[in-house]
Amino acid sequence: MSSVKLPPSRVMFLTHSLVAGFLLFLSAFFFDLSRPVNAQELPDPFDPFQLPFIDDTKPFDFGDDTEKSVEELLLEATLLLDDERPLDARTKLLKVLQRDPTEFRAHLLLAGYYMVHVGHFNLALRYVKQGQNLFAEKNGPPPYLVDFTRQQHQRILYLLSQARLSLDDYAGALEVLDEFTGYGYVADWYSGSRAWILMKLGRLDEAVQEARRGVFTGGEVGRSLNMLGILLSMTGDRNGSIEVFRQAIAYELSLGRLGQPATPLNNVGEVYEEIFNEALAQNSYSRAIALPDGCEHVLPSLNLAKLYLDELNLSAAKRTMDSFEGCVAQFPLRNGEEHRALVHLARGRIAQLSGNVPEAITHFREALAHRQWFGKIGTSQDDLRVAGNISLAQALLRLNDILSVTPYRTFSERLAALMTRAENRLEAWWLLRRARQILAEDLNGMEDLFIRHTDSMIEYPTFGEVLARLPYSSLNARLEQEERRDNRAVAKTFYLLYRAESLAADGEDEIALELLSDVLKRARPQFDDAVLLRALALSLSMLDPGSPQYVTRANELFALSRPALRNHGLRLPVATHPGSERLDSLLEQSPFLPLEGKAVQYVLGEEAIDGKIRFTLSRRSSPGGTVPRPAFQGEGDTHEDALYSLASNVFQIAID
Amino acid sequence: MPHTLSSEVSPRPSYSHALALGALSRALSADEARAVHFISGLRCIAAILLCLFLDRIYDLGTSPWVIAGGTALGVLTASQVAFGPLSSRNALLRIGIGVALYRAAWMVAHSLPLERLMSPLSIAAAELHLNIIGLGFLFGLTSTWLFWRTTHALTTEIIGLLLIAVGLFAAHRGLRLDQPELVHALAWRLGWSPVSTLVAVGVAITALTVLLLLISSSPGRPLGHRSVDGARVHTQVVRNKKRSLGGSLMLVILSAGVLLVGYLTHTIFSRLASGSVTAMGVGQETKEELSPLGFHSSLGKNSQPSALVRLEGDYAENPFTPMLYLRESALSGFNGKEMVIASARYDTDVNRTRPDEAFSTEPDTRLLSRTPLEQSVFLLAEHKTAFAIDFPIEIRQIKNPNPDRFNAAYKAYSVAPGFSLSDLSADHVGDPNWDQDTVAHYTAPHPDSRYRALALQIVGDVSNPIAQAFLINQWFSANAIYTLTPGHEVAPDGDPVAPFLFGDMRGYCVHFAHAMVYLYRSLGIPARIGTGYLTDLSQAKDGHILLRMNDRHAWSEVYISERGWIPFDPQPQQVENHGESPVDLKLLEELMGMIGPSEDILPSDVAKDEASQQIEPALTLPEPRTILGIAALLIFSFVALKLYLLYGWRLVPSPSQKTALRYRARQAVLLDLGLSRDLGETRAEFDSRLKAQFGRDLLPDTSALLRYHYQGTTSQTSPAPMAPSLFGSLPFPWWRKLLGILSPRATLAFLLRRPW
Repeated sequence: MSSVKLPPSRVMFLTHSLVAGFLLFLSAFFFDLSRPVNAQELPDPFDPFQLPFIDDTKPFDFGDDTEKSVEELLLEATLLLDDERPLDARTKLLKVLQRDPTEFRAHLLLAGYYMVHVGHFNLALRYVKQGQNLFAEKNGPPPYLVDFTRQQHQRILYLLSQARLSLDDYAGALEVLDEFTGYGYVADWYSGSRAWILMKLGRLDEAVQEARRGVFTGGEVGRSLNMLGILLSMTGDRNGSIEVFRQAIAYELSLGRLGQPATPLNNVGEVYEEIFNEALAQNSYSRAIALPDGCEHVLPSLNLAKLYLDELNLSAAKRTMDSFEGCVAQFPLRNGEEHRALVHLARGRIAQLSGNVPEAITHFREALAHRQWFGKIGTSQDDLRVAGNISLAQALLRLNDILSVTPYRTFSERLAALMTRAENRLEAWWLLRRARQILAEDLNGMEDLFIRHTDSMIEYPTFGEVLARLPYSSLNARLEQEERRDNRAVAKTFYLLYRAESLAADGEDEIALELLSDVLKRARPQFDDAVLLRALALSLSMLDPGSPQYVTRANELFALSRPALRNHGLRLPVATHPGSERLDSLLEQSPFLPLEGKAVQYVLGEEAIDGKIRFTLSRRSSPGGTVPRPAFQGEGDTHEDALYSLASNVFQIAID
Repeated sequence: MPHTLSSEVSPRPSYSHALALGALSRALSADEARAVHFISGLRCIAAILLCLFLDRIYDLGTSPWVIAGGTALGVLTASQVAFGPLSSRNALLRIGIGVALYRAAWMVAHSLPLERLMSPLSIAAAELHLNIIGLGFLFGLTSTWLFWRTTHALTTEIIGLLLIAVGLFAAHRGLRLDQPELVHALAWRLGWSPVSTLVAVGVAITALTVLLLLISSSPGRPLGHRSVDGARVHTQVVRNKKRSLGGSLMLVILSAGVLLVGYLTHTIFSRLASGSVTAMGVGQETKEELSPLGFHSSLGKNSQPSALVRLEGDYAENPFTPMLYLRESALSGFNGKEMVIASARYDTDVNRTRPDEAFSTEPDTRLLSRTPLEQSVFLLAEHKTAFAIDFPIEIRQIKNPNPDRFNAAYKAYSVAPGFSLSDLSADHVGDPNWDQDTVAHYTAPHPDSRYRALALQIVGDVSNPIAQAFLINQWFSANAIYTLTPGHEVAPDGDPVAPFLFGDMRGYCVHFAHAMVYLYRSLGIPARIGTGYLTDLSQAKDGHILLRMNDRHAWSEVYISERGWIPFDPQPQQVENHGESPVDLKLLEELMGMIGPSEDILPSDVAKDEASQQIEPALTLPEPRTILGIAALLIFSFVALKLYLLYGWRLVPSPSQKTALRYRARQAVLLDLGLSRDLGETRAEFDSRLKAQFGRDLLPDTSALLRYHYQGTTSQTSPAPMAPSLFGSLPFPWWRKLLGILSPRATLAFLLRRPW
């Protein structure tokens, strides 16, 4: 649990841009002072007419820098970086190196550029290493006595530690930090970086100490508070974590335009989510998204969308993702790969819950095809693979369920559907198998089983479908282990649901139904609607269609989510009008179950208009009532077409 | 390929020889055994390749080498027992029993309270691994069993192989040169053209099929043919007939045919997709009065890399953000049927130069709000014309950083649009300096009056030409459907745009661009078609853009006074089959490395000592999990073999075989305890020696075995009475017996076919 709480890449990007720009400017300024320069060569920085890169005499300046000195180019590059013109700066720095390949300052500036602006950490590392070598050639080995040289050396060590950290070489990064303190250097960023590295190395207690030290010594207070909040949350002190995040938010807000409150807001939202305080979590995420530094973050948007999906509030989830993508479009030069997989994952889930399973499958395949760029966010690529595999497998199984209650006109259509179902089943089996394997082996013995684990991207209400394929004894033992350390009452509902799923898969229907009844009683309205959906669907699959209990629960499920019944291959009890054996026979291969009785709330009517068949589905005005209120209709040239059209209208939601 | 079996049955070797050589050799001559070993070896190699291939595609989760080991074990086991007396029914039964026992073992394992000893999920994870290894073993076992036992298995295998090939190449439909991904990656790695690699892989698969046919139908391939001889059932070896001259000739012709088809396919495909001539319906025709655009289908859609563009400066003013247009050619002429390249008098903003040709022109100073933009272009595929961002005033060749990878490299200096599209609303279309001819050229309408009627219908009472242009653009976005396969039927001289615009509105960029230009011109708006690349800058990295063939594009352009030619390109809301295709970032970074600074600026090995830069060497020690897996497999195999050796005699129905195998079992126990027959010592002498030494009969089956041996297997001699157990009668302390059980000596002797 952890990483998602650190500033997302874009925040890091901007933070580092500002800090790096400032430091680079200072460095270049100091470098400049350190060298004997001819006063005539040095442009006056306060005289705009002396600045060499402004040349109004030419219609188009293609940056002919042949006349400029290395110092001028370095200064220009520094200013351009500060001015958010990174490509221009890169070109200038490369020109410096073409002139003088031993100019280590250009190497270091390029290292900063590739680290902060591009996220190409391997290249950044190479530039730092080369800069370090050239620096050592020029100044000899450390330690250094001259202050200015010491500052330059500090800068090199900072860049090296950041590059190693970004490349997941935590031991190497810690080694550099040890070297840093070994020479007696002190810096604001030190505590935050060290705490983060210690956390990645699993040395949580030391990390907490280091983060506290950072807060007390006042070094990058916002970052240290954020770090401390994450660490406290990881050690189970959630109240302490919330308190620290509050301080972090207040601190960042106090910085005004320069502050980055979206990051601690997102992090505190995740802690609220963990303690099942959805209202406060939504509030935190919404505030994070609304802030200038938060609109471009995928994590608060994704977290908020996930919460809405748990509530089956599909339109709100879609609006959240639309708004995120609309915001990101303002930053065209960013690499879209950074968030694309997560967006596809969220959109796929929205499509699936709205009954548009083929679209969901497309989104999930896209999510798996994209590489998630996490940067320093601690979530691993495996988290995305697991979530993508599970979601795609479930979508394929849902498609099979839909095909099992789809009317077919011809034998060839039926045959094609059978083949599709076989293919889907095979693929889903394989995807779930891989997901279980990764969960068990690569994700710390299924750490995601802790409900709402912040690193995880899985859908907890349906996670039981994956777990059900594990041997019950293994699952039960693992659940008991989790329950021993998890004292959250709401989480028990999920564990009960998972046990019920596993027992149902083993054919222990009676015990499973008992557990599901318990789940239905415990599930909270609104916040656990997705859990309710899954529990109802599972119990319906074990009940005898036509039994009073089936009718009651099917009506409940239909009222909760229209697409859910068909998505699970279940049928909606309907009274037919006019009733006939032919119609009943036609409905056999459909998501409608012809039944009689007062509990049946829907009436399926058939009529022929202008040579076309029309089916309508209406809701009875009252239980057992006879006056229907028209709701849905479907038309077609044949009965099957009309029925298919009706089913699509009934069991699919168009989200605007 | 069915082949004829002769009725010739190999003479059965003597029983002692059979005992000496083990199950396989018992039924086969030395030559046949060699053939079986050779083919089994080939099948093992094929199994390994198949596992590696599957792992590459599906990420099996378990080391493919371990799965391959399981599969190979299955192959070898089947090759051993297929020439034994086991009937197919019995084999199937035993496999079924084996699977059931395996499942039962797991059920027992799951019911044990092992969670106290290990993590609860460790057992489940181990089961997942062993399941897939077992699946490989079963596959190897059954397929090889069928291979040796039936003639039709070969046909099935070849059909299977061809189905895999079809499945592999299915992704290549629609001339997707970047598919299948595996082949595309191979092409990139080898530096071959995708067409050559595709054909080479196709030929290799076909050649493999032919090879399989050749080997399997060779006279050396024995077949285990089970027959009933009197009251007993045993397996005979039936050989293939020698291949006839005609048969051999057919194989030669077949092989030559494969090569010929490969050559022709390569030639035809190369012509179709020569370099990068056509993709997304946008080709590279450069001659005047001709068009590079195709209406039939967007042939050649693929993500084959075609160029790497490096922006040397920021372009924050890009009006089309996040998209970027790179123009290669412009079509402003109209030949009565379609838009074509006009004479050099027109479209002077287009360079019309080859990539290896320098170009320079004066900037049009009348154009406002232009920003200088420098780009370096590194071509990865053949291009006839240099392209650049609108519009280049200078193109200068630069040193090709990697001639093996890049076709050419040049630097372009453009004066790119630096205004917002909303700024255009107050502007005018056309250039007041144009003469009548030029105006007429750029506004030459399509003779079909329906275009004007539709244009008027779309714009309604809007009279501002720029507003009209935007309205038409929006109309296309809302109403047209983007598809790569419009499938319109058009007569040779017919208008290829009409079926799109006045028909189903299904088309791709070529249809959109033509239709829009016709509508614009019908309203008197000067318009033309621009062709080249359209790329999404959000997929760029460090200003580096990897252009792919599916970025090739055609769009309509309108001339706006003091702004120049401005793209008007609809974004259809309805898209049939234009899947998003992400840029291969790994490849992009690899290419960025190639055009990066030289070695003296940034040595490639400068960070070689860094932990994060350690590249996994080709040969590494397997992971502990893999080692444990292999160890488990070896132990399992050892136990299975030992059980077979000691108790296998219970499985055979024939009394003579039962006696022989029981004798072997006792011999194995003795061998494990260190008692073996001396060189030259007969079985009877060995038996006597043991009796003398230990005072009891340790090999009670010796006399029965010898009777069977000298009197034949039809002897009515009843088998010798069996001692209570193999180990019970041994005059050794328990610890020595235990050591004997653990000893691999007899198992190794069995595997090495040492005489018992």
